[in-house]
Amino acid sequence: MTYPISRTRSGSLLTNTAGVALLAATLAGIGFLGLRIEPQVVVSTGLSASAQEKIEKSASASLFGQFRSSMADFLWLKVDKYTHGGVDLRGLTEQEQQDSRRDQVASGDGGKENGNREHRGDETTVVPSATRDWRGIYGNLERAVQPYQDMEHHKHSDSKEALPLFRLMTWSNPHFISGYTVGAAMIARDSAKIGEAIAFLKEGLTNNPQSIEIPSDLGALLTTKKRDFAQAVPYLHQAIRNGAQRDISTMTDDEREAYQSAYRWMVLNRREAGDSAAARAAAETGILVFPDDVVCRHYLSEAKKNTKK
Amino acid sequence: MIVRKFVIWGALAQAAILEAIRRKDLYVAVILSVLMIGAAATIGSFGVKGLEIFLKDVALTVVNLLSILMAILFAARQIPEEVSRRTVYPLLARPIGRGDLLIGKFLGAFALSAVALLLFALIAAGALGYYGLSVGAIFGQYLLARLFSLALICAMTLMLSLFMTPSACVTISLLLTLGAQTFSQAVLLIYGPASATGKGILRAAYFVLPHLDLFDLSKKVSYGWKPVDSWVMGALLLYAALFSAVFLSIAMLRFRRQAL
Amino acid sequence: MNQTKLQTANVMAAGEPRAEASKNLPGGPPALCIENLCVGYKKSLFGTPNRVVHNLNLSVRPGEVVGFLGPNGAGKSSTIKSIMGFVVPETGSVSIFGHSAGSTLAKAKIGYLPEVALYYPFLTPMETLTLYGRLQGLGGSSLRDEAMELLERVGLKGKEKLQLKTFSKGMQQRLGIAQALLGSPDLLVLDEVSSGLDPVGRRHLRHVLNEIKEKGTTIFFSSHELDEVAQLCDRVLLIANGRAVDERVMDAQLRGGIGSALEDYFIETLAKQEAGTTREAGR
Repeated sequence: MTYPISRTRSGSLLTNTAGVALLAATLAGIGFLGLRIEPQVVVSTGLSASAQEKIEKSASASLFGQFRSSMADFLWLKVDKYTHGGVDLRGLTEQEQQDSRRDQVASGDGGKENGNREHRGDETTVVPSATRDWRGIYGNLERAVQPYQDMEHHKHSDSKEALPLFRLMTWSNPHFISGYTVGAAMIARDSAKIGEAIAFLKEGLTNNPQSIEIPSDLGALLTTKKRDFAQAVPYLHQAIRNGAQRDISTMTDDEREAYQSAYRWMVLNRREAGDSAAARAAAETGILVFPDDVVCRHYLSEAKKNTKK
Repeated sequence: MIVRKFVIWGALAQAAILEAIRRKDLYVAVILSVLMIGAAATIGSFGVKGLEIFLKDVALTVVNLLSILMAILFAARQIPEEVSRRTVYPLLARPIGRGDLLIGKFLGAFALSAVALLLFALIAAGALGYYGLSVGAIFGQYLLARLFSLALICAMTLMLSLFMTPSACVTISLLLTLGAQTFSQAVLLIYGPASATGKGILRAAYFVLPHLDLFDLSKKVSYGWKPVDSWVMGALLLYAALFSAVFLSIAMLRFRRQAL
Repeated sequence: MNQTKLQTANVMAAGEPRAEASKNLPGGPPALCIENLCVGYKKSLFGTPNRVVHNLNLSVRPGEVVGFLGPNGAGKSSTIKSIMGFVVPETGSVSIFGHSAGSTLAKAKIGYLPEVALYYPFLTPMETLTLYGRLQGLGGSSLRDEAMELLERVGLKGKEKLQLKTFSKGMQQRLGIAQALLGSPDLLVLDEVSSGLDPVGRRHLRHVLNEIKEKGTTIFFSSHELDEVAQLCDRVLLIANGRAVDERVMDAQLRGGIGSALEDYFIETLAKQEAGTTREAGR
């Protein structure tokens, strides 16, 4: 599983400063409340949506909520820098995209990155390379003082090292769904820690019962890594139910993708469990929502062939 | 003559330091840094493994931010406060030039900022050391580069304080200092698509304005990079000295004929 | 009223050229010489300056004690600021013992008390005097001894280690006088010298200034306290609307009726000046 980070990744001192202030304020606030910070990934009980809504109606809670949200964003940005040894990356401008001589970040590990994301060929370093820099000595100085390296064939540091950041992210903003899903994906890279990844996602689901992505990923993990088909089904059902309650045109790309995946995993799950009727039903429902879905189509055509035989 | 100048500058700087210490400005800053770095260090409770970089990053950002703030606040008030409370009169009634007063005040503000920086760095190193994290040899270079930048910031703020109100001076200095990196990145981004005239303006703006982001080695410290080459430190020293001299010269030109 | 008009070379009237006269004074250059001084302040960068001192000429001999009198807004402080080099004159020149005003050589000879003496609130009197002493070129134990002696003279003994933020206005003024006397200056320039002092403080100040006068130090001071002026001065200069109006040598009659004769002279002269200005305007 790879998860693209679509946000801008250059962090200035201003953003760092704001982030540090937020972090300090959040930590201090939590410290005053006397909460114990657990050293490992554990599941905490979240509030129900209505309880959360009630609390967040107050101005102070709303402000604190914004703090937490910005804090999570700040940490999200950090993850990317973290895996690139501190080198800032950014998207290519339109002009750069048309320029064949552009500096382009490319992965040196054959696309099989350890990172939480993959480079899609539309990125470059914030600090330009010497050949493309008009600033002379200023450019040389910046490349010397800032973390900078030729990113043409770069490698990533082990992204598992960034896991605590995800823990912090979801702790500071329990509604930061990407934090749960990407974090769980990273934990799950270690086959010995699948249980931990599942627990992390379950915590996310408790905090975000309306989420489509979290139950979809839970279902996928349980199906593929644990092969616990029965336990996965309720989560996949929940993902489909949550998706069905939403207007698909208002969904984010991640939500739409998770909604579609939930149908696919349901089909595969039921097929693996030997319940072909349920798999067929899932594929038929899925194709109504996503008429172009390859997995559902393929399953249905195979099922049709098998029936003919 | 030179010795006499140093005595004058030293006396003025000493008075500025003594006053700042008695005003407890430094204590407030130290308490603030302990709170911020201490709060950030509670992240260590998550288990430091995997958070080393983040912890260092947060601690050094606090050090950067507070040292910049202190430098600006110290430098911004030196001359305007002397004028507003009329202490400038008995000072300038002595056989010293206005330039001497400026240099003395600059040295005072710089010395205070340097002390503040070292205090913050000590607190940060202590907090990191508590979790068994070391900052490496590049930390020394980081501190040195920050000292250079503080000299530049003090000179720039001192100059601005002669042209505008203290609050405007603090705001502009903060913008120029904290926005330096954003400005650099913005210029680099918009330079490509800009017209020839636009490119000329951007180049001029880029080279005229001070680039305080060049003095920030904190990211390299956090991410465990090797120390930079000595030519880099030399260039930074030269850059800071050059810009400080320019700012102080402009300040002197302004202050020399300013009615008090 | 028996008024004695001075006819000596240093009698100044508005607009009169005095350079040659002052240079010819016996015993070297005058302690203070102002020639055709015009001071103005700009309200904006490109605005025309608002002139507050017009063609002022005056001269003070070494050892003389001269009172500089005038109503509020007459231009006294601006003139004194020009003497100290705090403002750059539009035209004219100011010299102290032959050195251009504002130069380090000129300032080395001056002890100055500003109109409102405020000092670093977080320093002690001893630290304040040490700072000014070091700027004056003094140092070591001689500076320490002189500072202690001055603090005693102005009545601040025992308060050397208190921070100035705990000082009353009168105590700050006493410290101001001490710092002005630091380094035994040849010319004392005192702006509103008795401001903020209580009657005891004034008497004390009078005593200190008389001592200094005895030593031959030149004193040029402005004050609203005419009794103060009458007791100390050899001569008074009157200024109104930025122009020199008149001057008098202090005689027994003028000095005798403290609180009345000098006051009468001050008010009557200004009234005449006012009337003259009105007539001019009427024509």
